[in-house]
Amino acid sequence: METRSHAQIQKKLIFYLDNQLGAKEHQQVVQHLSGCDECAAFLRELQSTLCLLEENKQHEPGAYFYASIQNRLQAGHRQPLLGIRLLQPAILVLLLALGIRLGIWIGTQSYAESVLSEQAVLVPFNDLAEEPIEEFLLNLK
Amino acid sequence: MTDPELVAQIKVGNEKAFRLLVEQYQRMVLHTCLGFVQDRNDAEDLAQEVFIELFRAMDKFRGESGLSTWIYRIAVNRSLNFIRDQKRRCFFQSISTRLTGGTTVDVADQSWRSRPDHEVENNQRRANLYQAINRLPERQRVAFTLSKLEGLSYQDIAGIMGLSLSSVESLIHRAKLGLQKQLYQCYKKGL
Repeated sequence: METRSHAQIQKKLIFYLDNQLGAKEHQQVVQHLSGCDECAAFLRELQSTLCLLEENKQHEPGAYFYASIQNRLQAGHRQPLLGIRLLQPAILVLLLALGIRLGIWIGTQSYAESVLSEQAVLVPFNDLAEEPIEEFLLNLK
Repeated sequence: MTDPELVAQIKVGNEKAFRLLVEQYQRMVLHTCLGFVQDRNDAEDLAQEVFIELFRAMDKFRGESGLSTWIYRIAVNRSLNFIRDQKRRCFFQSISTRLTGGTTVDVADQSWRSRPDHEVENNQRRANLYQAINRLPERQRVAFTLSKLEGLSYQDIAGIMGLSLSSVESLIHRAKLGLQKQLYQCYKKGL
Protein backbone atom coordinates (compact mmCIF):
# COMPACT_ATOMS: atom_id res chain seq x y z
CA MET A 1 0.00 0.00 0.00
CA GLU A 2 1.11 3.53 -0.72
CA THR A 3 2.53 5.65 2.12
CA ARG A 4 0.23 8.47 1.02
CA SER A 5 -2.74 6.20 1.46
CA HIS A 6 -1.60 5.24 5.00
CA ALA A 7 -1.23 8.87 5.98
CA GLN A 8 -4.65 9.77 4.56
CA ILE A 9 -6.34 6.92 6.42
CA GLN A 10 -4.50 7.59 9.68
CA LYS A 11 -5.78 11.17 9.65
CA LYS A 12 -9.32 9.83 9.61
CA LEU A 13 -9.03 7.18 12.29
CA ILE A 14 -10.03 9.35 15.26
CA PHE A 15 -13.13 10.45 13.35
CA TYR A 16 -13.77 6.84 12.32
CA LEU A 17 -13.80 5.84 16.00
CA ASP A 18 -16.30 8.62 16.75
CA ASN A 19 -18.51 7.64 13.76
CA GLN A 20 -18.04 11.09 12.28
CA LEU A 21 -17.12 10.05 8.75
CA GLY A 22 -19.43 10.14 5.77
CA ALA A 23 -20.57 6.82 4.33
CA LYS A 24 -18.02 6.91 1.48
CA GLU A 25 -15.07 7.79 3.73
CA HIS A 26 -16.16 5.23 6.29
CA GLN A 27 -16.16 2.54 3.60
CA GLN A 28 -12.69 3.61 2.40
CA VAL A 29 -11.30 3.30 5.93
CA VAL A 30 -12.93 -0.11 6.46
CA GLN A 31 -11.49 -1.36 3.18
CA HIS A 32 -8.03 -0.04 3.97
CA LEU A 33 -8.02 -1.48 7.49
CA SER A 34 -8.97 -4.93 6.25
CA GLY A 35 -5.76 -5.11 4.24
CA CYS A 36 -3.37 -3.00 6.32
CA ASP A 37 -2.00 -4.42 9.57
CA GLU A 38 -0.05 -1.25 10.34
CA CYS A 39 -3.09 1.05 10.31
CA ALA A 40 -5.22 -1.56 12.08
CA ALA A 41 -2.62 -1.80 14.85
CA PHE A 42 -2.56 1.98 15.26
CA LEU A 43 -6.37 2.04 15.34
CA ARG A 44 -6.37 -0.48 18.21
CA GLU A 45 -3.75 1.58 20.06
CA LEU A 46 -5.73 4.79 19.50
CA GLN A 47 -8.89 3.13 20.74
CA SER A 48 -7.16 1.78 23.88
CA THR A 49 -5.66 5.20 24.60
CA LEU A 50 -8.86 7.18 24.10
CA CYS A 51 -10.76 4.70 26.27
CA LEU A 52 -8.67 5.92 29.20
CA LEU A 53 -10.57 9.21 29.05
CA GLU A 54 -13.55 7.33 30.46
CA GLU A 55 -11.62 6.70 33.70
CA ASN A 56 -12.29 10.21 34.95
CA LYS A 57 -15.99 9.50 35.06
CA GLN A 58 -15.43 6.75 37.62
CA HIS A 59 -14.11 9.12 40.28
CA GLU A 60 -16.45 10.05 43.08
CA PRO A 61 -16.03 13.06 45.35
CA GLY A 62 -14.60 12.27 48.79
CA ALA A 63 -16.89 11.55 51.72
CA TYR A 64 -16.17 14.91 53.34
CA PHE A 65 -16.56 16.98 50.20
CA TYR A 66 -19.45 19.14 51.43
CA ALA A 67 -18.02 19.35 54.96
CA SER A 68 -14.74 20.68 53.52
CA ILE A 69 -16.62 23.35 51.55
CA GLN A 70 -18.49 24.37 54.69
CA ASN A 71 -15.26 24.54 56.68
CA ARG A 72 -13.59 26.65 54.05
CA LEU A 73 -16.58 28.95 53.82
CA GLN A 74 -16.67 29.38 57.59
CA ALA A 75 -12.94 29.92 57.80
CA GLY A 76 -13.39 32.69 55.26
CA HIS A 77 -11.03 30.92 52.93
CA ARG A 78 -10.20 33.30 50.14
CA GLN A 79 -8.18 32.92 47.03
CA PRO A 80 -5.40 35.45 46.62
CA LEU A 81 -7.03 38.61 45.31
CA LEU A 82 -6.18 39.87 41.83
CA GLY A 83 -4.78 43.04 43.40
CA ILE A 84 -2.38 40.98 45.51
CA ARG A 85 -1.33 39.04 42.43
CA LEU A 86 -0.54 42.27 40.64
CA LEU A 87 1.13 43.70 43.73
CA GLN A 88 3.60 40.83 43.95
CA PRO A 89 5.78 41.93 41.01
CA ALA A 90 5.56 45.55 42.17
CA ILE A 91 6.77 44.55 45.64
CA LEU A 92 9.61 42.53 44.09
CA VAL A 93 10.70 45.54 42.00
CA LEU A 94 10.51 47.77 45.07
CA LEU A 95 12.62 45.33 47.09
CA LEU A 96 15.16 45.14 44.26
CA ALA A 97 15.35 48.96 44.07
CA LEU A 98 15.76 49.14 47.85
CA GLY A 99 18.51 46.51 47.66
CA ILE A 100 20.36 48.50 45.00
CA ARG A 101 19.95 51.73 47.02
CA LEU A 102 21.23 49.97 50.15
CA GLY A 103 24.19 48.63 48.18
CA ILE A 104 25.03 52.11 46.90
CA TRP A 105 24.73 53.54 50.44
CA ILE A 106 26.99 50.85 51.91
CA GLY A 107 29.47 51.41 49.08
CA THR A 108 29.48 55.17 49.65
CA GLN A 109 29.92 54.71 53.40
CA SER A 110 32.82 52.32 53.04
CA TYR A 111 34.43 54.65 50.46
CA ALA A 112 34.09 57.60 52.85
CA GLU A 113 35.58 55.50 55.65
CA SER A 114 38.50 54.43 53.50
CA VAL A 115 39.17 58.08 52.52
CA LEU A 116 39.09 59.10 56.20
CA SER A 117 41.44 56.29 57.20
CA GLU A 118 43.79 57.24 54.36
CA GLN A 119 43.74 60.81 55.62
CA ALA A 120 44.43 59.54 59.16
CA VAL A 121 47.46 57.64 57.88
CA LEU A 122 48.63 60.72 56.01
CA VAL A 123 48.45 63.00 59.05
CA PRO A 124 51.91 62.17 60.50
CA PHE A 125 53.42 62.75 57.08
CA ASN A 126 51.68 66.10 56.87
CA ASP A 127 52.94 66.97 60.34
CA LEU A 128 56.35 65.88 59.26
CA ALA A 129 56.08 68.13 56.23
CA GLU A 130 55.09 71.05 58.36
CA GLU A 131 57.86 70.37 60.93
CA PRO A 132 61.26 71.47 59.73
CA ILE A 133 63.87 68.68 59.74
CA GLU A 134 66.19 70.61 62.07
CA GLU A 135 63.46 70.90 64.69
CA PHE A 136 62.66 67.25 64.33
CA LEU A 137 66.30 66.26 64.88
CA LEU A 138 66.50 68.53 67.89
CA ASN A 139 63.38 66.99 69.38
CA LEU A 140 64.82 63.57 68.78
CA LYS A 141 67.78 64.30 71.02
CA MET B 1 -36.23 21.35 43.54
CA THR B 2 -35.56 22.88 40.10
CA ASP B 3 -32.43 24.90 39.34
CA PRO B 4 -34.16 28.34 39.49
CA GLU B 5 -35.75 27.36 42.81
CA LEU B 6 -32.38 26.22 44.15
CA VAL B 7 -30.78 29.50 43.11
CA ALA B 8 -33.60 31.52 44.69
CA GLN B 9 -33.31 29.58 47.94
CA ILE B 10 -29.52 29.96 48.09
CA LYS B 11 -29.87 33.69 47.47
CA VAL B 12 -32.03 33.99 50.60
CA GLY B 13 -29.45 32.04 52.60
CA ASN B 14 -31.00 28.57 52.67
CA GLU B 15 -28.12 26.27 53.61
CA LYS B 16 -30.04 23.13 52.70
CA ALA B 17 -30.49 24.41 49.17
CA PHE B 18 -26.76 24.97 48.85
CA ARG B 19 -26.13 21.46 50.11
CA LEU B 20 -28.57 20.14 47.50
CA LEU B 21 -26.78 22.09 44.79
CA VAL B 22 -23.42 20.66 45.86
CA GLU B 23 -24.80 17.12 45.94
CA GLN B 24 -26.39 17.58 42.52
CA TYR B 25 -23.35 19.02 40.75
CA GLN B 26 -20.31 17.75 42.70
CA ARG B 27 -19.56 14.84 40.36
CA MET B 28 -19.91 17.02 37.28
CA VAL B 29 -17.57 19.68 38.70
CA LEU B 30 -15.04 17.12 39.92
CA HIS B 31 -14.94 15.36 36.54
CA THR B 32 -14.52 18.67 34.71
CA CYS B 33 -11.62 19.68 36.95
CA LEU B 34 -10.08 16.20 36.63
CA GLY B 35 -10.23 16.52 32.86
CA PHE B 36 -7.93 19.51 33.09
CA VAL B 37 -5.63 18.88 36.05
CA GLN B 38 -5.46 15.04 36.03
CA ASP B 39 -4.60 14.85 39.71
CA ARG B 40 -7.34 13.72 42.03
CA ASN B 41 -6.34 15.82 45.04
CA ASP B 42 -5.87 18.97 43.00
CA ALA B 43 -9.17 18.35 41.20
CA GLU B 44 -11.08 17.89 44.46
CA ASP B 45 -9.53 21.02 45.90
CA LEU B 46 -10.46 22.94 42.76
CA ALA B 47 -14.00 21.55 42.79
CA GLN B 48 -14.46 22.83 46.34
CA GLU B 49 -13.20 26.24 45.28
CA VAL B 50 -15.73 26.22 42.44
CA PHE B 51 -18.60 25.75 44.91
CA ILE B 52 -17.19 28.41 47.24
CA GLU B 53 -17.07 30.84 44.31
CA LEU B 54 -20.59 29.80 43.31
CA PHE B 55 -21.86 30.48 46.81
CA ARG B 56 -20.23 33.90 46.95
CA ALA B 57 -21.25 34.91 43.44
CA MET B 58 -24.79 33.55 43.54
CA ASP B 59 -26.24 37.08 43.71
CA LYS B 60 -24.62 37.83 40.36
CA PHE B 61 -26.33 34.89 38.66
CA ARG B 62 -29.19 36.34 36.65
CA GLY B 63 -30.29 33.12 34.98
CA GLU B 64 -29.50 34.26 31.43
CA SER B 65 -27.73 30.95 30.87
CA GLY B 66 -28.50 27.63 32.52
CA LEU B 67 -27.15 26.97 36.01
CA SER B 68 -25.04 24.04 34.76
CA THR B 69 -23.55 26.23 32.00
CA TRP B 70 -22.56 28.81 34.62
CA ILE B 71 -21.07 26.12 36.87
CA TYR B 72 -19.12 24.62 33.95
CA ARG B 73 -17.81 28.07 33.06
CA ILE B 74 -16.53 28.64 36.61
CA ALA B 75 -15.01 25.14 36.76
CA VAL B 76 -13.21 25.60 33.42
CA ASN B 77 -11.88 29.05 34.36
CA ARG B 78 -10.70 27.83 37.75
CA SER B 79 -8.97 24.84 36.16
CA LEU B 80 -7.25 26.96 33.51
CA ASN B 81 -6.07 29.44 36.16
CA PHE B 82 -4.72 26.54 38.19
CA ILE B 83 -2.80 25.20 35.17
CA ARG B 84 -1.36 28.66 34.44
CA ASP B 85 -0.27 29.05 38.08
CA GLN B 86 1.24 25.57 38.01
CA LYS B 87 3.17 26.39 34.82
CA ARG B 88 4.47 29.56 36.46
CA ARG B 89 5.48 27.61 39.58
CA CYS B 90 7.21 24.98 37.43
CA PHE B 91 9.07 27.72 35.57
CA PHE B 92 10.42 29.27 38.78
CA GLN B 93 11.09 25.81 40.22
CA SER B 94 13.14 24.87 37.15
CA ILE B 95 15.13 28.10 37.49
CA SER B 96 15.84 27.42 41.15
CA THR B 97 16.82 23.80 40.46
CA ARG B 98 19.16 24.97 37.71
CA LEU B 99 20.69 27.52 40.06
CA THR B 100 21.08 25.02 42.87
CA GLY B 101 22.21 22.27 40.50
CA GLY B 102 19.37 19.90 41.41
CA THR B 103 17.38 17.63 39.11
CA THR B 104 13.99 18.57 37.65
CA VAL B 105 10.88 16.57 38.53
CA ASP B 106 7.97 16.01 36.17
CA VAL B 107 4.98 16.80 38.40
CA ALA B 108 2.26 15.44 36.13
CA ASP B 109 4.13 12.20 35.55
CA GLN B 110 4.66 11.72 39.26
CA SER B 111 0.94 12.07 39.93
CA TRP B 112 0.16 9.16 37.61
CA ARG B 113 2.95 7.05 39.01
CA SER B 114 1.44 7.41 42.45
CA ARG B 115 -1.57 5.40 41.32
CA PRO B 116 -0.93 1.82 42.25
CA ASP B 117 -3.91 0.23 40.49
CA HIS B 118 -2.85 0.65 36.87
CA GLU B 119 -0.61 -1.39 34.66
CA VAL B 120 2.61 -0.08 33.22
CA GLU B 121 1.27 -0.14 29.67
CA ASN B 122 -1.80 1.93 30.51
CA ASN B 123 0.35 4.31 32.54
CA GLN B 124 2.42 5.00 29.46
CA ARG B 125 -0.69 5.42 27.30
CA ARG B 126 -2.23 7.74 29.86
CA ALA B 127 0.92 9.83 30.13
CA ASN B 128 1.07 10.14 26.33
CA LEU B 129 -2.62 10.98 26.09
CA TYR B 130 -2.62 13.76 28.69
CA GLN B 131 0.68 15.11 27.46
CA ALA B 132 -0.87 15.36 23.99
CA ILE B 133 -4.05 17.00 25.36
CA ASN B 134 -2.04 19.48 27.43
CA ARG B 135 -0.03 20.45 24.37
CA LEU B 136 -3.16 21.49 22.47
CA PRO B 137 -3.91 25.22 22.26
CA GLU B 138 -6.04 26.31 25.24
CA ARG B 139 -9.37 26.74 23.43
CA GLN B 140 -8.97 23.45 21.57
CA ARG B 141 -8.19 21.73 24.86
CA VAL B 142 -11.24 23.19 26.58
CA ALA B 143 -13.58 22.26 23.72
CA PHE B 144 -12.12 18.76 23.38
CA THR B 145 -12.19 18.09 27.14
CA LEU B 146 -15.79 19.20 27.48
CA SER B 147 -16.79 17.14 24.47
CA LYS B 148 -14.84 13.94 25.10
CA LEU B 149 -14.57 13.81 28.85
CA GLU B 150 -17.86 15.42 29.78
CA GLY B 151 -19.80 14.18 26.78
CA LEU B 152 -21.37 17.62 26.27
CA SER B 153 -23.07 18.55 23.01
CA TYR B 154 -21.40 21.09 20.73
CA GLN B 155 -24.29 23.45 21.50
CA ASP B 156 -23.63 23.23 25.26
CA ILE B 157 -19.90 23.77 24.72
CA ALA B 158 -20.66 26.82 22.58
CA GLY B 159 -22.76 28.20 25.47
CA ILE B 160 -20.02 27.55 28.04
CA MET B 161 -17.22 28.98 25.91
CA GLY B 162 -19.26 31.85 24.54
CA LEU B 163 -18.55 30.83 20.93
CA SER B 164 -20.61 30.00 17.88
CA LEU B 165 -21.47 26.41 17.08
CA SER B 166 -19.26 26.40 13.98
CA SER B 167 -16.29 27.69 16.00
CA VAL B 168 -16.71 24.84 18.47
CA GLU B 169 -16.96 22.31 15.64
CA SER B 170 -13.79 23.69 14.11
CA LEU B 171 -11.95 23.71 17.47
CA ILE B 172 -12.85 20.10 18.21
CA HIS B 173 -11.97 18.98 14.67
CA ARG B 174 -8.53 20.61 14.93
CA ALA B 175 -8.05 19.26 18.46
CA LYS B 176 -8.73 15.71 17.27
CA LEU B 177 -6.33 16.06 14.35
CA GLY B 178 -3.62 17.47 16.61
CA LEU B 179 -4.17 14.82 19.22
CA GLN B 180 -4.11 11.99 16.69
CA LYS B 181 -0.90 13.34 15.17
CA GLN B 182 0.83 13.48 18.56
CA LEU B 183 -0.43 10.05 19.57
CA TYR B 184 0.80 8.59 16.28
CA GLN B 185 4.26 10.04 16.94
CA CYS B 186 4.27 8.45 20.41
CA TYR B 187 3.07 5.16 18.91
CA LYS B 188 5.86 5.17 16.33
CA LYS B 189 8.45 5.96 19.00
CA GLY B 190 7.19 3.10 21.13
CA LEU B 191 7.47 0.50 18.35
